[in-house]
Order: sequence, then C-alpha cells, then structure tokens
Amino acid sequence: MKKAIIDSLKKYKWKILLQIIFIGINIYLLTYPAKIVGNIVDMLYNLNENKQEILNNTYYLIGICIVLLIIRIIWKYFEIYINRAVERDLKTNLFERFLKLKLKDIQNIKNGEIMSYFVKDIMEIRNIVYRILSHGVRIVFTFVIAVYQMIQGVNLSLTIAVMGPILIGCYLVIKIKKYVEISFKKSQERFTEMSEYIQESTDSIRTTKAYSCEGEQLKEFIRKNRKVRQSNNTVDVYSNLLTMCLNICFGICYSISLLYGSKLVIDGVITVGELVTFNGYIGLFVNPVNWIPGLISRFKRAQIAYKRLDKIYELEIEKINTKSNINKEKLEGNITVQNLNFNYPGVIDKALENINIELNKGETLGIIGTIGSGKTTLMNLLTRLYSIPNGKILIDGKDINEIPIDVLRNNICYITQDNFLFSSSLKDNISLFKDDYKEDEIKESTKKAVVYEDIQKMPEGINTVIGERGGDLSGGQKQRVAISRAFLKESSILIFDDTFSALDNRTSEKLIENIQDLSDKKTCIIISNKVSDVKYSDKIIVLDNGNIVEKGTHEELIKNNGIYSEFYNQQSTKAEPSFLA
Amino acid sequence: MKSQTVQRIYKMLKPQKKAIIIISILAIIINVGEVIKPYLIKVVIDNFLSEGIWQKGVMTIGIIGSIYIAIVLVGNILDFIVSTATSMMGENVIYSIRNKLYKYVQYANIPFHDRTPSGTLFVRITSDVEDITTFFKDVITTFIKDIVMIIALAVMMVSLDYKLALVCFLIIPIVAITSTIITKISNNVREYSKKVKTKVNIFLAESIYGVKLIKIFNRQYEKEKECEKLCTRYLKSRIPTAFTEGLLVAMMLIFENLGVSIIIWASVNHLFGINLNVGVIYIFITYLKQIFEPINRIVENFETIQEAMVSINKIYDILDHKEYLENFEEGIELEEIQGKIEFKNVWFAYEGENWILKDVSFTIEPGKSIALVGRTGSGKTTIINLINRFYEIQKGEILLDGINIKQINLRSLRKKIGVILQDPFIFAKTIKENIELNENLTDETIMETLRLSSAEEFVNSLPNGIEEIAHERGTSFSAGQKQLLAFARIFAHNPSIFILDEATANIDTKTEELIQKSIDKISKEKTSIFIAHRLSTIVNVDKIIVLNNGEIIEQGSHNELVQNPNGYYSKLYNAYYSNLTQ
Repeated sequence: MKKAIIDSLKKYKWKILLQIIFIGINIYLLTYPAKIVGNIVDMLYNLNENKQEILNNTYYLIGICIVLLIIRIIWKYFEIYINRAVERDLKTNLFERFLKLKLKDIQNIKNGEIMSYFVKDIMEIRNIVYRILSHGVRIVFTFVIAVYQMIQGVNLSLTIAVMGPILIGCYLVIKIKKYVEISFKKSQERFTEMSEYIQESTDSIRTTKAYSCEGEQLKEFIRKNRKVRQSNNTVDVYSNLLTMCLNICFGICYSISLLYGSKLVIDGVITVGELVTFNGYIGLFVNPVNWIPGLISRFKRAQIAYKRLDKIYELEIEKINTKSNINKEKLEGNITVQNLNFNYPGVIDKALENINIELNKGETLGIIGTIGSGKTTLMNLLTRLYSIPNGKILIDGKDINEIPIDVLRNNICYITQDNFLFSSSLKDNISLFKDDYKEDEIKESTKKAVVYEDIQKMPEGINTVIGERGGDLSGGQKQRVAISRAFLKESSILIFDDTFSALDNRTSEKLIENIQDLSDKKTCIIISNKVSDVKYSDKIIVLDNGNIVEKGTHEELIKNNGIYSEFYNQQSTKAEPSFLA
Repeated sequence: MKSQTVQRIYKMLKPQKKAIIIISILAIIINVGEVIKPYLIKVVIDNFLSEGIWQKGVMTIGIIGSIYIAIVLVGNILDFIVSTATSMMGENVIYSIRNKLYKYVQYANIPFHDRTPSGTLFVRITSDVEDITTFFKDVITTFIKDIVMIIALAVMMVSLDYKLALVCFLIIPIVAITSTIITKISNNVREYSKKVKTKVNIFLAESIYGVKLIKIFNRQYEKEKECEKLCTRYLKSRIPTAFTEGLLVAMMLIFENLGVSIIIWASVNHLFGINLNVGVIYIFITYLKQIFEPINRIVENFETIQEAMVSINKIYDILDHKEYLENFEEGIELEEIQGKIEFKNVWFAYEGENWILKDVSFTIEPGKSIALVGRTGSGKTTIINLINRFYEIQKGEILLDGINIKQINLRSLRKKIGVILQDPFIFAKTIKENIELNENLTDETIMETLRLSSAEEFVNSLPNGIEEIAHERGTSFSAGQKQLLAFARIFAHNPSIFILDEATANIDTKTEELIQKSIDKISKEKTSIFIAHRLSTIVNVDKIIVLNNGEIIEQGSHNELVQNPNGYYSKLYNAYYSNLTQ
C-alpha cells in the first residue's frame, strides 16, 4: 500500500512542487489588497497632494486581483489534477491487486466491504493527500506570511496581542470538532439503520398487510425516525457551538485591534492606514483556522483507511501472468483425481472426502447431488480457485499445481451456476471483453446455446446492453447467454455447473445434444440435481456430503436402487412446473 | 414557483409559525449588531483617531471598544440560539413529513404498490426528504436573515451618502449575474462527473460480484485496462472544476476590490460632489464587502430551493392521493368463524375492461380444501389476492361465512386468513420476531409453533436459536427453510383459512417432506386453498378448480375429473404420465 501511494506521488512530483509554489505566490499576493487599502487610507488624509498616487494604487489593487485570478486557476488545476490522479492510481492499483487475490480470501470478505475499500477508504487517502497539499500548505503559508507582514508592516506587540485569541480559537475548534465528528458518525449510523428499515418495509408490504401489522411497523419507524432527529439535533448544536466560538475569537481579535491599535495610533507608533491593513490581515486567518480540525480528523480517518487497505495488500496473490503475452500452451484434458480430501479454511467438516475420478479426453462426466454435497467445491479445486496439496488432481498426468494458473484456466471453460452478467452488451458478456472474437463466431455460439432467437428479438440484437445484473433477461435466457461462452472459448475441458436449472426440458435437451456434439474432442463435466441432465453422460457420480456414494452409467445406477434411482423416482412424481404453472 | 407548491410549503411550516417569527426577530437584532460594528470603527477613526485623542466628551475609545465586544458576545450567542432553533425547526418539519410518508406507504393498498416500485418509495422517504432538509434547516431562515442584512446595509449606506451608495449598488447586479452563471456551469460540470463516478462504481461493484467469472476466464488484464480507462475518464471530468472553483472565488475578490476602487475614485475625484472623510470611506468599503456574502448565498441557495420544490412536489404527489389508503376503522369485527368461502359471479380487472376473472363462482365448505390449477396468467394468484381484499372486485360478491367481505373490517378479515407466498418474506429481525409479527408470544409458544412446522431442528442448529437474527431478506436461509418459518407463522397466528402458493423452486427432498407434513396438519382442520404445482397436493384436495383465461372450466375432485376423458384436467394428467414413462 505504502509503495502504491509513494509511486503515485512520485509520478506527480513536479506538479506537486508547482502547486506549492503557486499557493505560496497566491497567499503572498493576497496580503496586498489589505496593504494597498491601508496605504490609500493614509494618503486620503492628504487628498490633494496624493491624488495621483491614490489613483495609481487603485489600479494596482485591480491588477493584483487579476493576477490572483490567473494564479488561482492554475493552482486549482494542479490541485485537482494531482488529487484525482492519485485517486485513479490507487484505485487501479488496488483493483489489479484485488483481481489476483485468492478466492478463499475474497469470499471471506463481504462484497459491500470490498466495495467500501474502493469507494470509502481510497477516498479517505485521496482526501488526506488533498488536505495536506492544499489546506496544510495554505495553513503554514498563511501563518508564516501573514504573521511576517503583520510584524514587519505594522507592529510586533499588536501582532502578539492578536495571535492570542487566534490560537485559542484554534484550540477550541479542534476540541469541539471532535464532538461534531463523533455525533455526526452516530447520526449517520442511525440514518443507515432507518434506511435499511424503510427498504425492508417497502419490500415486505404484502406480508405486512397479510398479517395486519402496519401499525406496529409504523410505531417502530417513528421510534427510529425520532432517534435520527435527535442525533441530527446533537450534530447541529455542536457545529453551531463551533461557529460561535470561532466568531467570538475573531470578534475579540478585532476588538483588541480596535482598542490597542487605536492607542498605538494616538501614540504615533502606527498610522490609521496601518491599522486598517492590520484588520485586513486578521481576516486572512479565518479559513485556515477552520481547516485545522478537519486536517487532524481526516488524518486519523486516513490512518484507519490505510490500515484497512494494507490488510488487502498483505494477502497473498495468485501467480498469474495477466499481461498480453499469454502462454498459449494446450492441455489434452485427461483428468485424474486421487484420494482427494478438502476442508474449507476454518471449517471442520470435510467438504470433500476421498474423491477418486478418472476422466479421459472426449468423455462426459455427470455429477449429481443435493445442495451442499460438494459439487461446486470440486470444480473450484479443479480450476485452482482454492489450493490443494500436490498429487491430488492431475491433468494429462501433470499435477495441476505445476500447471501455471493462466494455462489451466485458459484450457478449462467453467460455466458457473450464478448466471451473473455484466451490465454491458450481450456481445461483451459472451466474449467477456476480449476483442479477439468475430461477431459471426459469437452469433454461432449463441445459436448452439439456443439463445440466438431470443437475442434476435431484442432491440439491438447482440449489442443490446443489459440492465444491471442482467435485469432485462429471464433466468433461463441469462443461463443460456452464459452457456454461449462455452461454445466460443477454445478449451479442452468444459464444466457446466447446474446451468440448466431455469430451462424447460425441451431447451435443456437440445442444449445437452449440442454439448454432446462438441464433447467428442473435449472433456465435459455436467453438474445438476436433475437426473434428466446427466443421464446421457459416459460416467455418472453421485455426491452426498462430500463423498462419492455411487458411480456408474445411468442404467447401472437405476438398477442399483440407491440414491440415484430414488432421485429418479422423486423427480418423476413431481409435476413439471412449466406444465401446470 | 407554482402556487400549489407555495401552499404545500405553507402547510409544512404552519405548525412552526411561532418559531419562525421569533427566529426572524432575533435575526434582525443580530443583523443590526453586525451593521453597527463597522460604524463604531468609523466613529473611532473619524472622531478620535483623526484628531489623535482617546477621549471626547464622555465618550472614550475604551467605551466604544467595550460596546464592540458586547455586540460580538451577545450577537454570537444570539446567533447560536437562532441557528440551533432553526435547525431544530427544520428537523421537526422533516421528521413529521417522513412519518407521514411512511404511514402512507404502510396504509396504501396493493394496487398503489403495484404501480409504484418499492425503489421509488424508498427514494421518496430517504433522499427526497433529505433534499428538502437543507431547505427547511438553512435556506428558509438564512434567506430571511440575508434579505434583512442586505436591506440593513443598503439603508446604512444610503443614509451615510446616498450618491456613493447608488454608485456602489451598480455593482450588485453584476455580482449576482456572474455568480449565477459560474454556479450554473459548475453544477453542470459536477453533474457530468457524478455520472461518470456512478459508472466507475457500477463497474467496481460488478467486478467484485463477478470476480470468480473474471478469474476462471482469465480476464484480469482486460478488466484492469477498463478500470484505468474509467478512472481516467473520471479524472478528466473533474478538471473543469479547477476553472469554475478558481474563477468564482477570484471573481468575487475582483468585484470586491473594484467596488473599493470605485468608492475611492468617486471620493478622490469628487464625482457628483461626493466628498467624504476617511471613516466614511472605510465604512463603505466594509459594508460593500459585507453585502457580497448574503448575495452569493442567495444565488447558491437558488439551486437548493429549486431542488427542494421538485422534491416537495414529488412527496405531496404521493401524500395527496388519499384514495389509495385502506380503511382499517370501519366494518364488522369477526369473532370465531366457520371458514366458508363463496365466490358469486366475480368479475375482476386490474384496470378497465381487461378482465382477469370472468364470472367466477365456486364454494369452499368449512374445513375443506381446494386446489387452483391452470397456466400462468389464468387467474390463480388473483383469486387468493381477492380473498384477503388486496384488490377490490368490480362485479359479483365474495362471501365469508355468508358475509360480504366488503363489509368486514379489513384488519379483522386478514387476521382470519393465513397466506404463504412462494418466496416468504423474512424480516431482518430475530426468528422469534419473525414468527410473532404483530403479537407478543412466549418463547414456549414459539418453540411449539416451530415443532408443529417441523422447523425446530433447523432453528435449533442456529447459533442463537430463536434469537438468531436473520440476514437482510432472509438470505441466510434456503427457500425451503423460509417456507418452514412461514408455516410456523401460520401455526402461531392460527387463522381459520389457509392459503399456500406452492414454491416451484428447487427444494431439497428432506425439507419438502417436512413441508408436506405441515401442509397435512393444517389442511386437516382449516379451510385451505392451494395454488398447486405438485401432483401429490392436487390429488389429495377435496376439490380441484381448473382455470383458463380467468374462467373456471372444470371443478370437482381428482377422481371425478379424470372420469371425463375429454376434460382439460384429465388431458393434462394423462399427457403428464405418458411423458414420464417415455
């Protein structure tokens, strides 16, 4: 993580330097209007003598403002560029890292949590970079330049007298800001809680009505709403208190400058104009004092975010060659599984126990079993999404741990059971963002996946963009789009993990036929809990609680009168949903 | 601003009338203090410093300084009170509007929910209400304060020197226009970059969700490139804000000093006979600077006001439609009932003449069971939604124990009917609360219902048993487990009529057996209606009602119906069996 931040900052070191220089110039020039106005005030006492001089000064005044305009825009450009470029670099870096993490680690973290790394934590880091480079630098420059001008241009003891309340102001602001932050966090939590409740209520309206609990729901809501109101009020009280303290401190500054400054004027130490200039300088401190607490609290938040992100960076990554020079090595597709046992990390129960499978090139294996019997786990191991000891799974006689991950995965086409689609065009969803495929090839694959006609009916055919998470397609259509990938990818092993569940019998039969055509040259694994999907396979295994309990062909297993035949009979008596529904 | 919107705002603010008046009065006092402060300095400069004296008559600079400090202290404390009171008032307005909206959503009928997506309702109660928060908490009162401030400053300037004041005022419209234009541009830039940001976030969310897919297809490189491309696009979309942000502040500085220069030019050249002393010039400069802040704020708030108007109208467009609210107050309260249901020539359409049910008549005797059979869209689900009056029928009548259900109190009616939907809703509460819903039950009763619904084993296997909190929407449970919990609800509430929409989703064999046990138990003693998918259910009911396009085409027991070889049901049944034996 540290390296990513430093690398990114190094990339922009000249821009950062320029930004600091421009801020310096900006603040230096900002002291001029006060000075010029002061000068003019002094000269006004001798109006007739100084007329030309006064007019010249007003021209300076406007001139400086125009210069300030230009400098400000340049400086802001650097500020925003650096700020957002750092954000981009960190996000991309984290994303690269994330894609290489091991699945076991990814699945330990909730999706929302991962998202918050990208959105919230990166934002905190970006924010502190911004605050240090912009606010931090400005606070330092303001204090140095303005104090120097006050002492040099006006009077030392007046400066000291005024700095007292300003420093007290800083202290108070830091103190109170802490409470603002705490109460704000609480109010956000309560708001989230209320939002979740609203979301649930709007989704559950039928259940609520069926059980007539509208009144109870409302009572609970009012309670949550009241809590939100109360915590918002607390936030407001603290932030108003903060404003009040700050204003009083600066008000006292002006009072001191009025009382003590007037005395100095009467004593002839300073002129009226210098006093006016001095008041102008005090105004320069208002914003920087306001920024100090933000800088501190943001720094703390950034530290927390940094620690959270660092945890991701500490996780081990898969050794994958992701760049374009992909290893084009081909595998034949003979799979051997020997005495395979597997536990998910941190789980005592064995997910797989003593699994032995022999599958040759061109053969089809059917795997059947209930939810949680270990079917998907086995596939996760075959694709090295989870790691296993050496000598347990061999492909073409070679240990899969010795096959580079990218070679292995390029040769296996694994269609998973969650028919997840990206909100991109159908074309992108089938080719999965690789430009190597021609449109005809993609169309051909959709024909084989029996989804071609469905796609033709859509407004823009293969270029139709899918609503988030495939909202526009039915479950069956989504499954078939996902299956199209198998017909497109040139791989020697095909895996279909429960990908026919939302299809009616006729469609799934046709699909399985197409798969059979393809599988003469390829090794194929079909996973399902429907007997009809696997019955044509060369070999069938029945998984139960991580064990292979039955093995054989459809006919053998029916005769066996075991779990398989029980499945078969049950599924026969269950009415076909598409028939009566 | 339409007068309707104004009326709506007035309605929302009416309960806060007193607070607003007090706040406004205090705001005026604070502003007067703000205006006096520079005047005190003017007095010091002109009356004391120009002559180099500390005391003049009874007045000393010390006294003036003390008044200055007093104004600072009192003014700021008053300001603290005013702003706190204002935010509290705003919070109250928001609080009550949110309650009203939520209440509406809860009491609105199903047709309303059919046409309003739950996402929209969520946005109304959360972000639309948030959008009006700033309006009620800050804008309304700062608006009063700012206008008062501008007027006070203007009055002071005119009274000091009306000619110079008029010259100064020339600059005000220029400030307002520039500020409006820059704010407008800046909002457009922001809007665009917000859209790009949303794209980046959607991309990230999807990549996280689909990481397994990316891995098994080795698409890391492609996705990384896409990520960088999108982030760069966001970076570029932010660059123009450098211009707008830089410009706005710098332009105000220019105008301010232009104003200062104008005052000085006018005084130096004695334009229009203006001839001022130093203190007055000073005070003019200060007032001019002071007047910029409220002007800018009003310009900025303009946007907030417009947004708030839109949101207020959206909210009231819901609240004003009283016709969707269900009436829970009137109607006959039911005591013990038999559970006889009669449909008499029922016609129903969701809209217009698009009849979903056409002249449907049937009777279910108390304690008997029926199965509704038919294709999707044949009207099965509609029938069960009519019994608990989720929808009102257009023609005919539905009777419960001989009473028209329209005359029965809605709450009382629904309490007598227990429905299990295909995908039962599980609240993110404890198992216990999920079963209780609106009643208070003892732990023993809960355990008893779990036993009856065969959910005991699975609930006991949870770390916290009945105190286990379900994940959002019950995602931690399988479809089958959710059904079992729904059965427990039925046992807990003991309705007289039981309705089950059988799940089509894959449920494992063991759970299915448990569900069957519950079905048998319940249907033995209650009037039961099934939307059936499983043959075993259909065969066992007392009466099968076959629906086609909203009409009953056959009714009778399984044995009766298979007797008729040309009947719809027996064709279905035979086709099914011949299919199996193939």
